[in-house]
Amino acid sequence: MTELSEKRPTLHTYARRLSVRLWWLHSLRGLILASAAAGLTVLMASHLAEPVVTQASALWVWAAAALAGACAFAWALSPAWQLRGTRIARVVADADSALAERMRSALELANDANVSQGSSPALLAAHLADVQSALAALPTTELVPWSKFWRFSSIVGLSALAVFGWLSWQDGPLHAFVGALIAPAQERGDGTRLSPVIAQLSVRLTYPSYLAREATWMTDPTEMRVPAGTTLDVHLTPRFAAERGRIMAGEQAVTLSPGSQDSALVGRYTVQAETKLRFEIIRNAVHYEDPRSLVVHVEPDAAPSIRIAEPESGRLAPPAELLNVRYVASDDVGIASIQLHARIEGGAEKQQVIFSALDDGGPQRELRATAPVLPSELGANEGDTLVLWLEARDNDLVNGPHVGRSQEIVLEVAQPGKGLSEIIPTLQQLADTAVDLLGYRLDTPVSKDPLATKPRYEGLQKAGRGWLSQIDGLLHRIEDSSAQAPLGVDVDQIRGVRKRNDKLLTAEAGLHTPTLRSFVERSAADIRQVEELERDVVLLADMLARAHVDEAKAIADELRALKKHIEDLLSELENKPSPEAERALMQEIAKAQRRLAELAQSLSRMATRVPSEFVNRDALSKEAAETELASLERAVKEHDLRGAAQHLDALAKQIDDLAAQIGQGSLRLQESRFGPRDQALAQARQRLNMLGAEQDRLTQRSSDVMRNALDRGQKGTTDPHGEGLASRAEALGKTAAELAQAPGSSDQTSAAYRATERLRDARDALRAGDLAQGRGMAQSAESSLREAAAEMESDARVFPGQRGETQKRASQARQAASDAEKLTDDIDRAMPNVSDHMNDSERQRVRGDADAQRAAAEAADKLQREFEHGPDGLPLSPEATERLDAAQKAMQQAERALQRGKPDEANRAQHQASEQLKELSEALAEQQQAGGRGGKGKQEGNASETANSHVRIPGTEAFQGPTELRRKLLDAMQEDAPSGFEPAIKRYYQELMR
Amino acid sequence: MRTLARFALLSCLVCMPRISLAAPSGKDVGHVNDLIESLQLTEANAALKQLETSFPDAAPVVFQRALLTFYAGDYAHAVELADRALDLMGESKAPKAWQSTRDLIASTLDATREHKRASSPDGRYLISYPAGDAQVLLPYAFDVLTRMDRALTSVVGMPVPGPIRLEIFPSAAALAQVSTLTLDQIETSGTVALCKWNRLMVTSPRALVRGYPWVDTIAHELTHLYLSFATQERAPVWLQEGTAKLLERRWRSATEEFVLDPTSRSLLLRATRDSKLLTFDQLHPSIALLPSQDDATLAFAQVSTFMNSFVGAHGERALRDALSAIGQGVDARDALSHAAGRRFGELERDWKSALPKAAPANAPRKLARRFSGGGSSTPDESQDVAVTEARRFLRIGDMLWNRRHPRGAMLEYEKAHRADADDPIVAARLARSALEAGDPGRSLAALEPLLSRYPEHAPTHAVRGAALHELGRLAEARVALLEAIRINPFDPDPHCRLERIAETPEEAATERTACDLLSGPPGEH
Repeated sequence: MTELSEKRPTLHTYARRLSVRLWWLHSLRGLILASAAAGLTVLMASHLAEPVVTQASALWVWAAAALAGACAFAWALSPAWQLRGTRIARVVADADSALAERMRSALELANDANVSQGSSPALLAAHLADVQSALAALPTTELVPWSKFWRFSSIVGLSALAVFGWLSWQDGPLHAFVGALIAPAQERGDGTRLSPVIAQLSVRLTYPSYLAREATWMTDPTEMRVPAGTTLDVHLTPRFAAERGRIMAGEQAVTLSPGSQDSALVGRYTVQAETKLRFEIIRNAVHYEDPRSLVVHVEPDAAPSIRIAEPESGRLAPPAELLNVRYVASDDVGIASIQLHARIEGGAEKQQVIFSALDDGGPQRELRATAPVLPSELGANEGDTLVLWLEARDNDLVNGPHVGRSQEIVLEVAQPGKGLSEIIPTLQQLADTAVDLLGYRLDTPVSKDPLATKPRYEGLQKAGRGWLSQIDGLLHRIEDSSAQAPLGVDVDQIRGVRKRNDKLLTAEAGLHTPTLRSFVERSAADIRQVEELERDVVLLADMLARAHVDEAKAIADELRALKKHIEDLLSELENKPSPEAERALMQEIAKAQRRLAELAQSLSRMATRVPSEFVNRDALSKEAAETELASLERAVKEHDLRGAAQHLDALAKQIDDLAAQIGQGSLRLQESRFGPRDQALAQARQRLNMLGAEQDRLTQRSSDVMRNALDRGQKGTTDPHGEGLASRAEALGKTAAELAQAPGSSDQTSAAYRATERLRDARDALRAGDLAQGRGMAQSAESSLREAAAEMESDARVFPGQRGETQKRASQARQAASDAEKLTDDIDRAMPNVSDHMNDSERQRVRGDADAQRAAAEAADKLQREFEHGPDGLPLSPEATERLDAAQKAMQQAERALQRGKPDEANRAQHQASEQLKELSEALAEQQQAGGRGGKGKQEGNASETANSHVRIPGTEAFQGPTELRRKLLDAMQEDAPSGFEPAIKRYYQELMR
Repeated sequence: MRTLARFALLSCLVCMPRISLAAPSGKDVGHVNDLIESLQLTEANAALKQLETSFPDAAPVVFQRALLTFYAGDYAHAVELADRALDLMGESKAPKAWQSTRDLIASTLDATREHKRASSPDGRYLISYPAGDAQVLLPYAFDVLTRMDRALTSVVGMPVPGPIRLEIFPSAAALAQVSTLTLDQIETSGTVALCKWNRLMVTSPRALVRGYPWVDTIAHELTHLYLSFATQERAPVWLQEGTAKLLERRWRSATEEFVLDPTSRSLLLRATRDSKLLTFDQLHPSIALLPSQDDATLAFAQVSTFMNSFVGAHGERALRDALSAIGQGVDARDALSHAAGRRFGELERDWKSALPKAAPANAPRKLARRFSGGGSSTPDESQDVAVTEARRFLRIGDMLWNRRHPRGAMLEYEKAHRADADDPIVAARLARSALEAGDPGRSLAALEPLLSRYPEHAPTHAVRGAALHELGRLAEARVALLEAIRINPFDPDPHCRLERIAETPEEAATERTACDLLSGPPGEH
């Protein structure tokens, strides 16, 4: 019993559960119906009121909706109200009507003591227990299930609610109305209601036509940045139907009209200045303004930006070489044109259009291009300072065009390598390779093992021959007129190095092929090679050091000249300030900066190549000069001429110090490394000159003998051949004159001109019956013609000319030389036999001269050895060695002829020896003048002049005076010279006549 | 400087009556000045404080304070005080010596402004040195200062008051800037260090092409400081230099014998033979003012052998007694005579009679101290090779070495060595290339004969140390490498090798630091 009572709910509990469940069900239904009723009320109100209500209207609507909701709720709860108290038992009636009655009675008995009065408590308890027992079998969830919620009213309520929700979301006016109920519109004094009334704002941007930009759309923009003149086509979609609208920009208002296709309002606004656009719509004469606004910024049209990327300021620009000006330009509107401006010191400004939108595919917002420029077309010549800049114009037709200007770049119009030698790096490579060759030889000693010998030999031959090719390359570059050999580069010595090593390598090759020679022989050859390379590496290192120091010295000297020019310009600027004077000064400062940069490069190149005892690199700081130069530049820019003068003084001191340091280093190097050689060379030259004088004397003596003998041989007889030979000489002279007048290099025409002169002299001498003189002149002419022919042939290989004209001229010259040789031979044959006409005294004299000639040959031999072995073991001059060898052979030939009593033969050989000695002497003198030891290159004290500079060839008119001079000279030559000075005077006259 | 200071004092005294009635007496100021100059700085400070109480704004008192501050090493404050003294006196009335002293202090301030500073843990030794790789000097400098300080305390009988300040300058020009010597005088005499104004001033070995025995030089200068203090700056130059030279290697060990280097010995012998010994009076006021490096070397040789002869005959006690007597104002010659119990002429005769009479036939040549100019370029000592043929082959060898042909370079250096076997520069390069070519034995053979003849040639020690290291003779290698560092500490190789054969972890760490610092980033060397 106890258990049962515990499981079963009591009657009251059962009734309460049933009642609660019933109330929940109806309350839920009531809420739905109330919401639906309120929604319907709002819906109805939205049809009756304006789409956006004010606060007061909203309150009325809220009140109506609340009332409708309350009624619906009350109606929904009314069934539950009717089942209060014992009437709850009616609910059970649906399941069991008897039980419902029993339950009602039980409830009444339990609740009302009056009703149960008199009844047996046990009976009552049994009744209650019975009812409870019956109810226990009937759970409340079965009596009032949740499914009972789904009654018609509930479905209707939910449907109405859903419809309302959907409409509120989808229907613009209702949505706006509901929104306004939540956040009622504020009302301005003029009745305009402020509320978010715009569903969407679209703007089409149409740019000004000059921009050539596509129109773009923007949706719901809040801010935009557009160029002035941009048209904004505004498409505004209101949340509810509106009759029209307005765009308000400050005081200005633009009407928005209904569009053709949808409910959007459309209007157009043209941007002229920065503004804030507000939007308003009108419906039923009520104005609604949306809180959103559109801020419009006007993009200012910037001037084009342009920059020259290349070349950098300070670069060299060869006058006849295309200079690529690479630039980058950009503009927000688009670049319409770019002009290149050029200015030369003292010259007018020039302009050149390098880009035009009309021709080059329309305006460009960004442009990266290169424009080729020829400095000479801009009027720039070698040595000028060319200032370039670019100006870009944009395509702004509204406010423009705007102009952008690039930085100025200052270029020095000059051939590259003006400051720095191009030869030095090659020479450096040559010197390094020589050291490597020596290193390789020493690192891998000669082996007795034949197997190990081959790779060593092959490696050395390959490397050695490669090095010789490098030497050839260097020599070609130096011989090329465009390359300037630095002062210290001794071409003669380099040739000697090449020749000696070639010889040694060839000799070494002979020891390895075809058969391998003994270890001793190969070792000896290796030692010779090592000794030679030891000499060569020192020679090349010295040459390189000298070249480095001289290069730096030349730049320092140029800096000094620039400094002077800057001084003058600064003084000019002080006296007469003008933009031109300032510009000229700035250009000169820029030039000095470039020279300083070159000097820095030069000093850096010499860093490891010039021993510190010759150049104190610590003292060669160019930083101080750079600082002063920069300060000077700044002072001039700031028009602080006093400050500029002070900086210039300091700069002058720095440059002078630099130049002095380098100059002293150069002198020390010269004295230390080349002093003994120079001294030995000077002594050898002195002896060479003495030998030359002696040879000239001997030549003259045999000439005298020969002339006297010929005079005697021809005395009383007329030469049957003389006139014919003279005619041939004249004809040949005309050919030579034609060659001299033909276009060609100065050297060729000069040689042809000399031949013309000699042939004229030969003609005159032959007409006068002086066959000996005629022969000598014909021989000289032959030599000159051969020289001209050789040069023309050389030229013809490079510049053949139209239809091979140069080659034709070369053939003519060669033929003329051959004819001159025949003429000489014919004159020889026409001459009487000299030996037959000599007297005894002359024969004795000739034989006596043989001893003197032998002594001269021995002296030449001794001198040759001197030239061959300088104080450092290297030849003083390899060229001298070769020439002296040739002279010595000619002397020996002359000696033999003299011994045989043949003065004419001797004279020819003597003449040859004299010429060799004379040419050698001249070559050595030239070498020393050019730079101490044979380098072709810049002249000391005048860096701008070079030994290779072209010389203008005078025309025929220029020789009027010299022809008269020649005649006078020829007359003067006939006069007797003081004894002992004959050869010298003869040479003097020859030089004058040339 | 002493003369300068005395002149300043005299000017001070002459001007004093005109300065102000409220001025200290010249005697008092002079007393302070004497105390400062004789390095009795504590006493000087006490006396000066008394004067300052009575005459706080008297220009001579302020000037003495400036001088004392300068001696204490506070250059910035010293300049301020000197300026104040000049202001108080009036620019035009101030003695010129004041102005020149002020300028010296100011230029010292300028020269040391960018210096870094290091101190020993106990604070007794302070080293001021230029920023950069000069810091490799520090461990060695502290070591020599500590050892020598101890040794000198024993010899002199008392320590000098601390802190002992050592200043290292990067160039001869910087040394000239902080001294009264001109650059020309420094370069002519080869002066590399000074002891003045209560501090040691040393040129960095970086400033010389071959370096120099800078560690012994610090010891030498510290000896001067001791002598100045012990004698109250009354010892004459010859006694100072002779004693300093005699004791400069004493830091190595208490029994370290005085050894005259071969070059000095040769010069001394030649001068003795030719009767061209310098008189003691010629050495006044400074050996640095002698006209040539040879004269300076001869002077050092003379005075050091004289003092060696004295100490050898009469003991260190006699020296200590003599110094004490000099400090009390006794003439140096009398003090030495008295301490030895012989007349000075007899002492001189004893010394001369002990000198060898004939110069050895093959005296080593003198390797002049050449300043490198203070730039960044690598010093080149090739030009010091005397024999032309040797110089030529050396040059070829150098070219091959630079092009990385060590064997080829070795063969060329050998030719140079054959041309002049007594040239340490050639021998060192031959040894270096032989080492590189993998032949340490050959390397050692080239160097050994010249080791005793050119003990100051750093590359000889460095390459010898490297060769010994390669041969596994580590103890000998250590000695050689340390000796190389004591002459040229800026060659990284000895440091790097010492790191590998260090005896303690501390030593290894020190050498590793130096090796890394001097070797620079990888690929730089």
